[in-house]
Amino acid sequence: MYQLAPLIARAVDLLEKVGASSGGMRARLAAAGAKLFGGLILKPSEEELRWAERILRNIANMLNKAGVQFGVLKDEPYSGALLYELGFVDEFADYAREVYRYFKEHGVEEVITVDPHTHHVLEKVYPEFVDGFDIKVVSYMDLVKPTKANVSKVVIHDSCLYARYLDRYDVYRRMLDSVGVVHVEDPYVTGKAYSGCCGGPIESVKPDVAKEVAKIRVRQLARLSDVVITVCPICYVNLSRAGGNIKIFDLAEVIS
Amino acid sequence: MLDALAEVDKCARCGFCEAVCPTYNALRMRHYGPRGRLRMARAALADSSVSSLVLESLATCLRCRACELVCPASIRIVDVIMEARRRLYEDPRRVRRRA
Ligand code: SF4
Ligand code: SF4
Repeated sequence: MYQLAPLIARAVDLLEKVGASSGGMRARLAAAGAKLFGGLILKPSEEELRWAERILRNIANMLNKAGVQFGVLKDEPYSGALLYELGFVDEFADYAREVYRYFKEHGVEEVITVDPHTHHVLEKVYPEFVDGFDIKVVSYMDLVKPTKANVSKVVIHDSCLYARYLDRYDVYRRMLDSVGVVHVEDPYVTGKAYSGCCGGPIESVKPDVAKEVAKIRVRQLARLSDVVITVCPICYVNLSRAGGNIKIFDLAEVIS
Repeated sequence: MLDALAEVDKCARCGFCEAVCPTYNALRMRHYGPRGRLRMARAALADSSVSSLVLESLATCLRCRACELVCPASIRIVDVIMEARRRLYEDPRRVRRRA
């Protein structure tokens, strides 16, 4: 947290120039900073914690069922994705080198990711900034073989990273197909090129714009189905805040 | 290495990218769209001091890449925005505060 203080001060200064409200901004950056260094200043709600735990447990169960051997690090370090995505590239590079050293010290050879931001930053960005980065990165989606689902007809809200950076657009579609879930498609709403972002990446920069983007997205999705499947926690949170008569589930809440 | 200014100069200003940009569609302001962001990136990369609108424009890109998939000039729009943003963040004093 101490190391992050100058960065937070600089970020707040920059963001205030953008016209972001300073109080909320400071709190949000402090939360991001706390998350980065493993501490917790602003705690997520009980409900959010239970939601995350349910999803992680289900993913672990599916991995076990598929015969994948894995462990969970006690003090798993945060990937630093937020630093990179907000544009603090040099700070990110320093942080990434620390994380890599930690992985090496703990004998990690392969990482299984459960969200697109971590996956993208580890697979595509770390090798650019960390000399000799040699850790294999796989997504849980590439390993599990679900056998059932608790929904029947849905619309998928793609993660921009999975669809347009990581070539996973078809992977979760095939998973839903394999357990008999109908996903309604419209090239202008769910197509690889046209599917809209949830707005989440700028939540800490311009929350009002992020919310407007999410509202537009929810309206588009609701035309196709009232059950929306997300594959990223940021999408889930940002779309959930936008209101509308839809139910949102993470992929790992509906398959098993 | 990305030659960000050369990428900016490939822009034909056709505006196809604006149709798919979520922030442009939310606000209908040019500096919240890809075409405007390239113009703002040019300022951040080449000018010694810039308006806070430049920062606002570059800091609010979602990096969603929808624009890149429709750009007929295949401009690496997100990479340009990221590079311009990085340069601006290196020295925030270049950004003029709003009056
Ligand atoms: S689509 Fe490409 S060439 Fe056309 S205005 Fe946008 S960035 Fe420029
Ligand atoms: S990457 Fe940025 S500029 Fe391009 S469509 Fe997305 S928000 Fe707009």
